[in-house]
Amino acid sequence: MNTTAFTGIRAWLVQRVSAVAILAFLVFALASFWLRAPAGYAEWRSRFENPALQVATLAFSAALLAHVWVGLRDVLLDYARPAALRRFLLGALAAVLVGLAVWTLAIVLPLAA
Amino acid sequence: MTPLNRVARKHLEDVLLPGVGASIRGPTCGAFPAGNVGSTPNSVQVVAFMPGIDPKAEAKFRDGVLHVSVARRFGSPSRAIRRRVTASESDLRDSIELLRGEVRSPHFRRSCVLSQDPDSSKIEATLRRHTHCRVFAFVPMSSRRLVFLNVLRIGMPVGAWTSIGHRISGVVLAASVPPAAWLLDLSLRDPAGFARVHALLVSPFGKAAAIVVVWSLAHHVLAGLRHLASDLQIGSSLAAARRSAWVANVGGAVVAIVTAGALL
Repeated sequence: MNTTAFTGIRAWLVQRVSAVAILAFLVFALASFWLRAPAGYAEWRSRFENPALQVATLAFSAALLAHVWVGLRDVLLDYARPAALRRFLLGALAAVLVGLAVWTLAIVLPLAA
Repeated sequence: MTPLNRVARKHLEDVLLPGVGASIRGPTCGAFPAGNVGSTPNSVQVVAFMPGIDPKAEAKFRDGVLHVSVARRFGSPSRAIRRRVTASESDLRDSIELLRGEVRSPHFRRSCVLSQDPDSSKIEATLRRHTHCRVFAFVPMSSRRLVFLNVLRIGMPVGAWTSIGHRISGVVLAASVPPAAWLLDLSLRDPAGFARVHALLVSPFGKAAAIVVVWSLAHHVLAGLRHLASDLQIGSSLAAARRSAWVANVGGAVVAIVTAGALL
């Protein structure tokens, strides 16, 4: 993954749009927990068998990972020296985030089957 | 703009641009001589554009006084004398007073007492293309540059706490993503996994982690909403920005304390 992905004005926009998406999902998730906490495994699992929640979960994780990328990239650019270490850490971060995206798919997609 | 630069610009305004405010964009057309002020971390630069200089300039530093002399000829096309001296406020005021008397004389001489000794070996007068005279007097970086980075003793304004809190909470939340993914995976796998997740979350460690994550989330969301409002130019005045910073700081802490009370 190119470590200059989502930079400049695009990073700014990605950060804002993803922030709103994340917040919307969190408000929805907290509200649904508040209204009715899942009593057990069966109920918890049946919730996630709803395609709408699967799509929402995938969208949430995409927004979250993009948000994490922009945020942690800013942090690494500020503190990680020298440049070689910074490049390594940015590459490692990108690899972890791609791995997390694949993991999320591996969690959600079997539920849809 | 440094305070020194501000002072310099104010005095230059009196000398160079009577009745006209000096600005970074340069003086008004027709003002004589045109001038500007710039600064670097270790010097203040006064630029005066004057009609014609001889290709000979001298700069000496002796007994704490910087001497600069440039011969000037009338009748030649517009040329520039660029002086660059490092000076305290009073030094600068004196030198600009001198400039007042010199702008129409054939010789440009300056003797300037410096409050800090420049590096004598680094004073130089140079001419470029017989038009620009530049005199540099460098003061060693360490004597002018503000170096005070003890974060424990710097008085942080409330917005700075919100900002560093936003960053710390963001890192905490990012670090909690993989464990959260693992918990979600485990809880959806089978009833045993669900039970294990439940047991983990109600364990003392799980509760402590939950409180940290809840504080991070609350602070990050409140400070983030503050950012979004700021992007829309809402609450950008100093008073409003301080109020919203307090709301974010205190709000995050209150949510964390309430959560702790509910869990423990």
